[in-house]
Amino acid sequence: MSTKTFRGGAHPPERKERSAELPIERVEQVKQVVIPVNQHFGAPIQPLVKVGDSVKRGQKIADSDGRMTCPVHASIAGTVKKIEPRMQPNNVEGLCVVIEPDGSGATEFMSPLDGFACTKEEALARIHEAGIVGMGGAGFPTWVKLAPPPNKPIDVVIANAAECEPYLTIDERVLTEKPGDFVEGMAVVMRLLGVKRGVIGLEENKKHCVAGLEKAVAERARGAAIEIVLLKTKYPQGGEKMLIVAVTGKEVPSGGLPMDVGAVVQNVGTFVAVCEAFRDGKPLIERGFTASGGALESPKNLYVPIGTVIADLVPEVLKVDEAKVRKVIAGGPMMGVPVPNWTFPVQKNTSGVLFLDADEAKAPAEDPCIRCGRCMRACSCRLSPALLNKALEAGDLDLAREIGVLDCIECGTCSFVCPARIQLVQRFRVGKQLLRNKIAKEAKHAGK
Amino acid sequence: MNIVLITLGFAFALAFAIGLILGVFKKLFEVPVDPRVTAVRDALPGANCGACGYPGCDAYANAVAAGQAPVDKCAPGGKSVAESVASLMGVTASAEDVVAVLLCQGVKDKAPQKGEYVGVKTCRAAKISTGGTKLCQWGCMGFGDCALVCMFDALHMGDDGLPHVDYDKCTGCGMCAAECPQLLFQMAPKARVGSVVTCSNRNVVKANVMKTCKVGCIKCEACVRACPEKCIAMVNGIPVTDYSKCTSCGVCVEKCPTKCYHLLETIEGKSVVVRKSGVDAAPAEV
Repeated sequence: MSTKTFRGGAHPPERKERSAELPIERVEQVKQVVIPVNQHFGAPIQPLVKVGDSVKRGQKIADSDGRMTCPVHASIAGTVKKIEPRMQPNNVEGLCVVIEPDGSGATEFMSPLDGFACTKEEALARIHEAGIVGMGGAGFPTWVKLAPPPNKPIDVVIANAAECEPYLTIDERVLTEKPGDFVEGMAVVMRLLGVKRGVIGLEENKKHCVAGLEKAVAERARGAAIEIVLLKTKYPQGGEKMLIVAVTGKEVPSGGLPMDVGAVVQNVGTFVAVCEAFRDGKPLIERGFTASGGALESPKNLYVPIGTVIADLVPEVLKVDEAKVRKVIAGGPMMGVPVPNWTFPVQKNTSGVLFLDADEAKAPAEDPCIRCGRCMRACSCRLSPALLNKALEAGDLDLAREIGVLDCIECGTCSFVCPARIQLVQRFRVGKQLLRNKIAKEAKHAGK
Repeated sequence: MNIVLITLGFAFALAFAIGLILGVFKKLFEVPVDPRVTAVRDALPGANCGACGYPGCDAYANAVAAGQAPVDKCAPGGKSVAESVASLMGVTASAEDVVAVLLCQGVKDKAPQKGEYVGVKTCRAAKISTGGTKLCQWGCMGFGDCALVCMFDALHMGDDGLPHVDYDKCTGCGMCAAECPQLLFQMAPKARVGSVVTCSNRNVVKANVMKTCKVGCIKCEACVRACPEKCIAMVNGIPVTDYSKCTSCGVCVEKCPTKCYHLLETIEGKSVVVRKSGVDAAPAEV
């Protein structure tokens, strides 16, 4: 097998060895869960339960019939204690349902559905009802991704097993421990989309998973043609657009979506959730994540009910050296969100929690650009970060748009390689927001 | 002597000839200018601030004269300019003089930071990356984006970490309100009289507000109950005064346990917004 890749990128220190060998630990007893109502990318939804209601594990607690929404389910059996704004992993307060366990363990799952015998509509409805969203980070509702418009034929399903973010090892552990579930979920999605070709994109540093995956494909894929493609270990190999280029050679057009080149990309965890939603009727109420970082005495791969508050796991499960913690990040170090403390709940798209020490979290001061061009060579979208930065500094949004600021995927590679430590990507995020506002304003004017 | 006369005669003859040619060509190629454009342009303040949504005063004057823009868009000019432009255009204007009022009083020592922020030092960048650098996600982050866009030198960052509005200079152009990513500036009519809550924390749980800011609105609704005119209502987590009924009695200012209330007043015909229970944005002791 030869390794494939995209142009650009960087190779930050992996630091995966700390947790790569550790089996996933299951946490079952939690003293409360704080379940954010809005965990998906899209329109907001409202809670269906009231304070004082007793809920079963798997019961739907929030939903809406709007498009681009995804229901949320109770992850433990218990009583709704509060419905109030709490801090979410994305660092802002949002409405959360607080449930305390009643010890009954009452479960209310959907009835199992054979993903290889049901109709497409049934399968899609099941994925919607199970509340599955992209578990890699963005939280895009999976059922929306799996229902492309008829003029966009899909010809390949790609499993994003690159896990290019440093520190995170949860996908690697899932591939090692549950390759069968993962492959089955993928086969169900391929059948749903009527796609003949499935590709598992795996970074080279996870080569040891190949044997297990090949065995799982032979046993559990029900004849679906799933191949394993080894990719070069490089950040951001797991970016949707980079993965598609590496695997299919096709480039997603500027401003386009993966469906424009006939590809659907899903994360490892998402496929496992799909498998469980069909086989057990279990909605997305639990997920695995990696807890790591220099200020954590023993890194762990954990599997917890969604809504588990990280602070509740300290110190029994996670031994945090509080004096050493300088920065806490929800997600990976490159694209995760820095959070003020660890009193936030794990939600559907939380792939990791990092407790970084002073050495890992150091943020050197910015220096002037020395025009070395390293950001241009590293940019995974083949943009020119230095020029973009200049345009945005001058407030020239039109020029920034012309040279592609809206195509930036905010992977942070440019900021990582910059020898002057210029915080490029944060400025691009500002530029993108300003530009989008401007475009919306112009569209409004034109409409008038 | 002769040479001087010849030179002078020649110069005068040449000047006369050129003047004649210029005069003829002016008549031949004259572009008629709507006299209203010039009149409207003269009535505008000439700050070229862009608050009207046009690139400058000239562009706005053209648009007004062409009937494409309303006559009351010049915020710095306020009521008087709107009225003179309206009379030039033969219409009536309903503009009010406005000023910017900051709806946050979370000074440095009252509203703590979430943690050390090491990113780009602008409010918008901080908002995108952190959702707000203070524990209160609605509060002023104090990097001064508003002070940078103020064309009239009316906004300055104070030592308390909040922008301070100089009401002698504020023209009500609204650039700060448009720039603030937290939407903390309210453009209040100068003529408005009554109470205002200078807090934007929309968390409905009292304990959560108290954790994040010592001078935030804790939703106790004491003001709503105490108001003799019954003109205060909670809207989206913040008490809002109905100015058609408010009599500036000051009961809410007294009752508010966290000193969120201030009175807007017009004094000595200068139309200045003042705050009774604190100087500018700085809150009184709690």
